[in-house]
Amino acid sequence: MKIVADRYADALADVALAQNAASQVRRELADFLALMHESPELRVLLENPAVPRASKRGVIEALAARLGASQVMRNFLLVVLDRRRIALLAEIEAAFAEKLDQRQGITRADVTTAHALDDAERKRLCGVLEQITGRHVEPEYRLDAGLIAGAVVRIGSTIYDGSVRAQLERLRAQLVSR
Amino acid sequence: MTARRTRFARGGFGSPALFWRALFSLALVGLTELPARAQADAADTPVGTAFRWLNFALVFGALAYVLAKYGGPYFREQAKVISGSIREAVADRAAAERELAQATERLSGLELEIQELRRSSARETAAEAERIRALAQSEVAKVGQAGAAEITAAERAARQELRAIAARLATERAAGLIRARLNPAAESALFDSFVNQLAGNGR
Repeated sequence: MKIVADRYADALADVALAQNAASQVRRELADFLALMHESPELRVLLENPAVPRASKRGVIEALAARLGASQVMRNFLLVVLDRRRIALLAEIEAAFAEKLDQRQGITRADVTTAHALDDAERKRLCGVLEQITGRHVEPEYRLDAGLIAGAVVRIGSTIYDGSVRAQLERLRAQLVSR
Repeated sequence: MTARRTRFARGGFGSPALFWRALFSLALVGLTELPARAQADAADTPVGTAFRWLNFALVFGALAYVLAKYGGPYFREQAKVISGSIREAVADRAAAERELAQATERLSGLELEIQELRRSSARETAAEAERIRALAQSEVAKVGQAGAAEITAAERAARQELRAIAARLATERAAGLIRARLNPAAESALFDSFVNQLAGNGR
């Protein structure tokens, strides 16, 4: 199913980048998924094969209009509906975000710190991360007091843990194994 | 004997024995009848005495004849039966004596066999006891080794657990101290250190 989702994500990325509306399409797709997540009835309606396709199309068009979705997003949702791939929409969304980042040379980074970083610290950290990855980094910041101090950065499957909690954990492991 | 039988058969008697029995009966009747008739008048006469003697002789002869004719074969037959019984008894006795000898021989052999069995049993018992003793010693040694190993493992585990507890307490204590003494300057210094380390990795 990952292959199918990748195919739809590639197609949507092609159209969104061609119309220079990548961010907008990404946001609209996320909004539609959030709506499906919040409304189990909507999910059941769209995924139920007993409901006529015309009714589903009407629902999607009404929702797109209410969300103020672009024509690209509206057409994409209708195509997915016609191909009976609505159940794969979450996978498509994740693959679409990944494709967009790849094509735009963007790397997502989760930055968790014990205290809020000021602008200078953020800028410096971004510069270092871009130096490491060689790509433009878009960080997402989170706070976690359990780290005590320091920071944890996750880029893809790579984790850079510079927190005091991790250092204490390493110290504890050394004491135990000694 | 055969001629006499034939003659008797022509005369109307079935066999010589029957003829003699009939003659003997007539003589007895006559002899008993004559003295009775003569008893009244001639019992004490010489003729009467002679007849009395004749009567006695006839009765005695008849008895002797009967005894000689029928008593001999009877007693011979009885003797044969008795001698056969004696022979059988002798044979039975011989057989019984043979069986007795065999039983005695078997008993003597049985005694030897019992003694041999007792000796064999004693040897096996001693060997079994020795084997059990060796096995018990081996088991004791194994139990001792296992106990020692278990004690060592438990000691190691206890030390490890103690070390883990000590390490956990130490790190928790350290975390508490760090939190208590942490200030913005220290936090910034720690963050800078992390960023510098990242930059060092990037180079």
